[in-house]
Amino acid sequence: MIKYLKEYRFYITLFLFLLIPVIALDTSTRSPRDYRFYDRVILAVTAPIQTAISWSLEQAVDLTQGYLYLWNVKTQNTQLFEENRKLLGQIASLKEAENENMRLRQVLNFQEKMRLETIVARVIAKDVSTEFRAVRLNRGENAGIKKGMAVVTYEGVVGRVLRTTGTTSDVVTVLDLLSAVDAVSERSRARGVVEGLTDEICQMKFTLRTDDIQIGDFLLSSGLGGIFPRGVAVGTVSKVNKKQFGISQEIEVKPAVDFTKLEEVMVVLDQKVEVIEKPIEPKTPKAETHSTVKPAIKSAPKGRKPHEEGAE
Amino acid sequence: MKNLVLRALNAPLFVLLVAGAVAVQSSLFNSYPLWYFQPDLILIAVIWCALRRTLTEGGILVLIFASIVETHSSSPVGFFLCIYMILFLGIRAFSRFFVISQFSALLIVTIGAAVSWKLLVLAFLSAFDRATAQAFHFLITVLPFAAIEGLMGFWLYRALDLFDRSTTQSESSRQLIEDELLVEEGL
Repeated sequence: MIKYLKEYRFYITLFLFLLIPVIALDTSTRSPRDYRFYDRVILAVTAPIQTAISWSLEQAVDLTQGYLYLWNVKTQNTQLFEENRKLLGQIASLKEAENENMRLRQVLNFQEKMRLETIVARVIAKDVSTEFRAVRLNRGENAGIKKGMAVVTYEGVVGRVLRTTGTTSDVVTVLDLLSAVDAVSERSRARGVVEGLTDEICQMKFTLRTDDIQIGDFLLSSGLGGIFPRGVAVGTVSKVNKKQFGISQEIEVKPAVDFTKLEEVMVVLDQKVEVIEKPIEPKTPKAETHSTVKPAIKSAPKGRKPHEEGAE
Repeated sequence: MKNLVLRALNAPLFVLLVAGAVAVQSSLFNSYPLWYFQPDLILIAVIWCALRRTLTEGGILVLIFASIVETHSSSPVGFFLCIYMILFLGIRAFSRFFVISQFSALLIVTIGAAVSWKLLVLAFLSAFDRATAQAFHFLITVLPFAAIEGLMGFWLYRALDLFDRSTTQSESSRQLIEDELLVEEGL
């Protein structure tokens, strides 16, 4: 037996080296991976290096921008003044729209309020391969971050937490090939799933050919699946290819978040949706008496377990 | 004795070097537009293992390197294990038929391996039904990636050779150790 093993040692080793990766790949497709003990040991070595490099780069950029580009500040200041004036105008019109929205909601007899409990984290590294587009944050389980939580910025959806350690967490961005976010068009309410396509563009799948989608349409997260809060910006439709035949249409989406400048993100620890129902305003003369019905507040179940919306 | 200790430390130190390289690769090339020039330092380590290590030692090292990569990526488990192992075995098989003794030949192998790496990624992504989405990315990145890989190889192979010499893992050092042992045994 030993003689036999010695004789075919080369082929046995070769077979084992091919078998191990295949088994790993096969088992991973059945259950998503979490960090194991030895992964955490590796991360304990690499995470401080990543943090140090990220910090050094940031300092270098700050120094350059702070001193070398100082001469450009005056021009920028003038531009910002101009932009500020425009934004003030926009805020005024948005206030008007908000008031109108409030009035309409009152007509519809309910109010909906979303409150997000978030934690700010800094991006310290990106995916080691250019084929996948994950990012690493400098905060993890110790800060309350858990697997499956949504990650957003003030611009829109960034992605969801894939894995965590005590001090770091990996986030699969919406640009990643294996990510998926359920989105809805703000204008036409057409629905689809936004998936990663290239380094800058996503694609919207499963949108029916008959659905009304146009270039420039704003896409929001639908909240389906429970990971991403409803109504957060996902992106803007940049290309629509509606074929004459087929079930769905090809849609390209430019993400709302500028991933080239992604530095700080917010991890959504808890999302609460409160629906406040108001009593119907009496319009008949009989109803002029005081209503005894009190407003009821319904809250979404706290800490609901997110489904694997992001993973396929 | 000192040489034997250094030689025993070669593999663990090599693993630590690769872990450091992964950390540098993922954080230094984190910022735009540097990420378009991101090399694959692990691929260079894999090629080095294929040409300068035995099948068993090199194979185990490649499995460890691929695991390190996978903890720093959102890829499915086994994805990079398969790709790096195929490349490792492929380069070993290639070196049986073609002599890769010169430095320039090593660089050509690196460029070829970089293109093969991209093709293998595309092939494995097709198993996840994502090859079409990545085809455009492949076309625009394959040539710059191969060029950068060759450029990095130019420096890194010298550094790895120096590392092997200092940890007595190179051919000449190995011969010296064997001679030393023979002297100690009175042969």
